[in-house]
Amino acid sequence: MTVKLTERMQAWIETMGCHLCVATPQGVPYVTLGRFASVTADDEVAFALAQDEYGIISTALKTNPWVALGVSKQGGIRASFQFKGIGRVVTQGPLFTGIAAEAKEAQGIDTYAVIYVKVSEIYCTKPGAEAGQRLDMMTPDEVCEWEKKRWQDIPRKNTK
Amino acid sequence: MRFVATHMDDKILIADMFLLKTKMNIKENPEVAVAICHPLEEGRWWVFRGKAVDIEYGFPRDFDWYGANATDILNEWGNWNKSEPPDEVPPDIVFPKAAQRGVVVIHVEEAYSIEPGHAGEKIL
Repeated sequence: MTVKLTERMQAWIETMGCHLCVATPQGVPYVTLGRFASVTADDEVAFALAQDEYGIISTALKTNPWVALGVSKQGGIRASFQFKGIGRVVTQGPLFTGIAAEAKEAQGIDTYAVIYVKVSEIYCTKPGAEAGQRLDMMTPDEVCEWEKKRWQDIPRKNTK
Repeated sequence: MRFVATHMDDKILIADMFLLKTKMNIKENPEVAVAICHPLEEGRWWVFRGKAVDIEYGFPRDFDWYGANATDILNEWGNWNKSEPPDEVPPDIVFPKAAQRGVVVIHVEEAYSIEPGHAGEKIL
């Protein structure tokens, strides 16, 4: 099924950043912060990580490329989704320098690695009967409608 | 997670309320990581790691998880929504009806920082 992050999902991800979680093949989890996030395609998010932030997950990511992410700060409550996908690490070239420059300008981050996550699974984490529901089984239009029935708040529009 | 508490010196408790997918994951693999999501600032850049079990109502009452007793846990936190109603949660977020099935007990074995500039440094 095609995955397309909704306008609201994109806004929360880019405004708040994300907590990124990886795990070793043995199932040992590691969490780091993706303070700067940029949606680079309908189903792809890039995170600029400083060296210490990347260091937490680098070993696990080399053996298991799956990354789970949830929106940080207030977004963890308001944008109650979990996204999963394959992560790809980029440390040089235009795919690195573009995101690194944006992260430096926006948050002063000295980027060591950029992780591109190709989102292929979306889960609802809203407390209640729908918690854990897998949303990427719906079409992108259906996901949009499903979300609009529950939430209308888009941080970029509300705060600027 | 609205219903969270600490117990003893090294336990984090979370209500098993609509956990569903998380419950399955814990049953398959007890290794967990818990990070503070909000608010992040003011020194709350923590990730706790350890082993978790979901102490459900049907567990033997003498079940022990690293020193935490099932009876003690369920007596105090088994009906969390009643003892601490989530009155402050906005109506578009709060669940319409509570349905607790137990309490997840995390035995914390280590903690590390995710503070920018100190990420990965061991705290505990």
